Amino acid sequence: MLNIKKTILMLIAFMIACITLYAAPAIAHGEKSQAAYLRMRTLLWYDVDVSTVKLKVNEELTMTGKFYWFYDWPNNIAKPEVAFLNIGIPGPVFVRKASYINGVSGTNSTRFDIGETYEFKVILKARRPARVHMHALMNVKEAGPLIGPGRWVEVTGNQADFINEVTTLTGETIDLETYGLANAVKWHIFWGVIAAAYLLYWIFQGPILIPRYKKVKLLGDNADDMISTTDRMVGLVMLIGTFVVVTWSYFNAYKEYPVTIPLQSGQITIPALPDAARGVNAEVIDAKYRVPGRALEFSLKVTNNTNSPIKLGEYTAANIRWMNPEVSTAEPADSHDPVAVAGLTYEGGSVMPGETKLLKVTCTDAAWETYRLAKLIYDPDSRFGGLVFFFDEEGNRSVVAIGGPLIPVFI
Amino acid sequence: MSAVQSAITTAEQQHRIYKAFDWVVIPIVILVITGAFHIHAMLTMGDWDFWIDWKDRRWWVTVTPISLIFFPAALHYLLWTNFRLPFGATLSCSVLLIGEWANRTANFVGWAYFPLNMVVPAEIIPMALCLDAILLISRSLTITGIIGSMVWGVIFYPSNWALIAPYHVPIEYNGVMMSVADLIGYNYVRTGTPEYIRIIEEGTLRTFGEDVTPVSAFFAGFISVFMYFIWLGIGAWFAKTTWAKRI
Amino acid sequence: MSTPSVEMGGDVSKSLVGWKRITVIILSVTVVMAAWRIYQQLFAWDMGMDSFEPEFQTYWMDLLYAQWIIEFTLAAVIWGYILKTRDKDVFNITPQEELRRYFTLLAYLVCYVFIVYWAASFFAEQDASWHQVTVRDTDFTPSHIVLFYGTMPAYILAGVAAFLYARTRLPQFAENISIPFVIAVVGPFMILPNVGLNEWGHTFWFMEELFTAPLHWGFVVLGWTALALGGLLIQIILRLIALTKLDDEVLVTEDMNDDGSSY
Repeated sequence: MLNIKKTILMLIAFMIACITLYAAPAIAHGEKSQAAYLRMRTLLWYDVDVSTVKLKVNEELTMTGKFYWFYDWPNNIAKPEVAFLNIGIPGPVFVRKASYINGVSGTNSTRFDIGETYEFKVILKARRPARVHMHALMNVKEAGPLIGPGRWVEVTGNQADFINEVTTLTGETIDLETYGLANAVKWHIFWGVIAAAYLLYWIFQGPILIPRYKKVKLLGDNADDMISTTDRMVGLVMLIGTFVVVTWSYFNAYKEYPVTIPLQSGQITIPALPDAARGVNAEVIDAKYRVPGRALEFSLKVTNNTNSPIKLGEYTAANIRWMNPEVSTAEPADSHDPVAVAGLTYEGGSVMPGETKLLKVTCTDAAWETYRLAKLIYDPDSRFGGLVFFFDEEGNRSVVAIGGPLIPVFI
Repeated sequence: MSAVQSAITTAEQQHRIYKAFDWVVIPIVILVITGAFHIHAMLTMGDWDFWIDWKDRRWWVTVTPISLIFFPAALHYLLWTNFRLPFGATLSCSVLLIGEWANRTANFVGWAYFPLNMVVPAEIIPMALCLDAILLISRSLTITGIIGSMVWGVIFYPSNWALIAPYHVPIEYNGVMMSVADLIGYNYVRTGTPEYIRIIEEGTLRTFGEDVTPVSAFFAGFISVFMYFIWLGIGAWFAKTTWAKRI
Repeated sequence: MSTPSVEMGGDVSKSLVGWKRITVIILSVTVVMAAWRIYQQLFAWDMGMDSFEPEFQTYWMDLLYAQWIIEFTLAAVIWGYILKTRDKDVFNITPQEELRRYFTLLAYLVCYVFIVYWAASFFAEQDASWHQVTVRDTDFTPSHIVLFYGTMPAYILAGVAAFLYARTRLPQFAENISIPFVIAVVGPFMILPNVGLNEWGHTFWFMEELFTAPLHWGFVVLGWTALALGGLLIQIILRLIALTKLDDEVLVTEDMNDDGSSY
């Protein structure tokens, strides 16, 4: 025989050991599980910023940025026929006061065009004290959440102080935190008491199970006689009473709320922004991923149709930025903002107006591994994508989408 | 079987045993129905029940009564044919509501921090009382199935209107008209449940003008009638006392 | 069959419920469930959002592994114990003893259905409050680890234990297999393998959580099988009627008035 107590004690000790074995550093939250091709070739986010990273309950925060629907959309991912601009936060730490896509309110779901760029703005009001990793996020019907860049944001204060007041079209000012709750609870209690009374009416006639079973069997065809006239009167009163109360409550609610509308489910279409490439064309001629060096190397055929010379300043994909500090600089916003400060180098220099030139670009960083982008070469679809940013001497930016097959180099 | 000897000799002992049996078995029945009915309900009409901005005039009104009549019908079979106890519907709907309230307060509010008014469950007691009352008065499962199930489906929306009407008051918000329920759904961010995932009315049934609700309610009642009988049958199958030598 | 010539241990009709053991069962199950829930409250939002972070491994995957080890151990110990200590003379027990054992079986069933409540009602709907709010990035989320790999194995443990108890200690159940009992234990048990379908579907189709999606209906159908406890209830009642029959009573049987005209 096993000694049960001893076994249980040992298991508990083992579990505690497992839990305490590790130290616990800070945590972000998860887009890394999504396949690399999906992250690189669906929605590409850039210029994402938040107005503040520390605020009190009831204060507001604005998140802004742009997103581009990649032209070479993977075949197995649903296209953004129906999509909804969302925010990735752990529950309503914030309430979304407003969201705009190209200046149009984003309360409804939207249709987007592949190959187009849009800008967004989301205004959030802090509701619950917490330190959260907040993401811009786009839900696409049947494709799922396409996650944008994240920022650590800290909310301080007390949730009890939070108010969320709005004024209805009937002129009433209401707090959405508690609106209608007391009324709903009152009705649930009312009907709950009646249901309990009805159940207890039968249970208190008890013992009800075995004796009633026996009686049903003994009476056979006459088993219905077990239901007395009183019982049936109870049923009749209950039936009529329920009808009366439901009818009264129904018409009373219409009297109290004479103006009501159905749930709104319209969908809108929003025109895209003008082309951000501003006359620059770029095409990937070949691309390799060098596994030992954790580097993406690609040849880019660039045609400059603008009036001034341009240089390559940045490559971004899957919310990771590879910067060429000679042209454009950026620092990580926080511990979980992947920016390879000097991750991009290239050969070929400036592309003059009217010139077509081959640039040899190298994007190096550990992020290829830590953010699981290097897994691309093991995906069933191993084409890569991303955005390249060119800058002219005045700092004007051209954003061009590039992509193509990626060949791994293992040695 | 006839060889079984009795363990007792007096009526008093018998009464005591029957009482003890009730004391243990009634909680068992309550707990198992709470569990089984709740998992059935949450996965067949749960989304409409969780969120205030899903409680529409078409799908919520149609899906909820149809989905919820399964267990009341099965329990009517078990409890009426074997015990002449006419409370299968009230029992199952009451315990379902207890399970829902426990979860909404402890988890939707206590864990995910949604406001409670956003996740109040639908009111399903009145329809259950009607179904049971009609069985009690008619003492017939057939009449209950035909009349009771119709009433069950039809009465669902009127009995909930007193709860949800306040959430259908219109608001102008960022240049768009929304109901209070829509606004609550928009304000309180659900990362995994975007706006478009709602299965709600998208346009009125054109030939009936604005009267979507009565059409949905009668349709729900109509299908509930069929479901009631199907589930009487399934309830009968589950209540079978089959013994087998081997399986 | 032995004759109950002597009333052993006093009046058999008294203290049948066994309030003490019922209280112990309810309290222990509640404590375990509350512990799970508190653990989620403490560590889900902070440590359970990103399955690629090392904290997730520490706080959630290790919990999962610990649960698995404990569950397999407890299953082996409890089921093994019930089988090992089986009544080898089960067909010759006194009616009094059989009556008492029926109430012990009911205590097992209390344990079973109480855990079923926590699994199928409390933690199952809780799953919505997690997955409709977060981005699903693993099959082993803080709600799934507790629901699928914690509470579900727990009720399987109790359900099979109840079945084995009846099979080894009650003459009727030892002689024949109760089909409703099998359904009521195996159906909910099958919910656990059905998790495979769930995760397969969520990996390939849905990253969003629509609770009423057809993908989830396997759980629904298997949940229905708990209704078979109704059949078991009637089986138990029929036997208890025989065990509590008074001399001047007619023995009530299931088909005593069966003319085939009822539903």
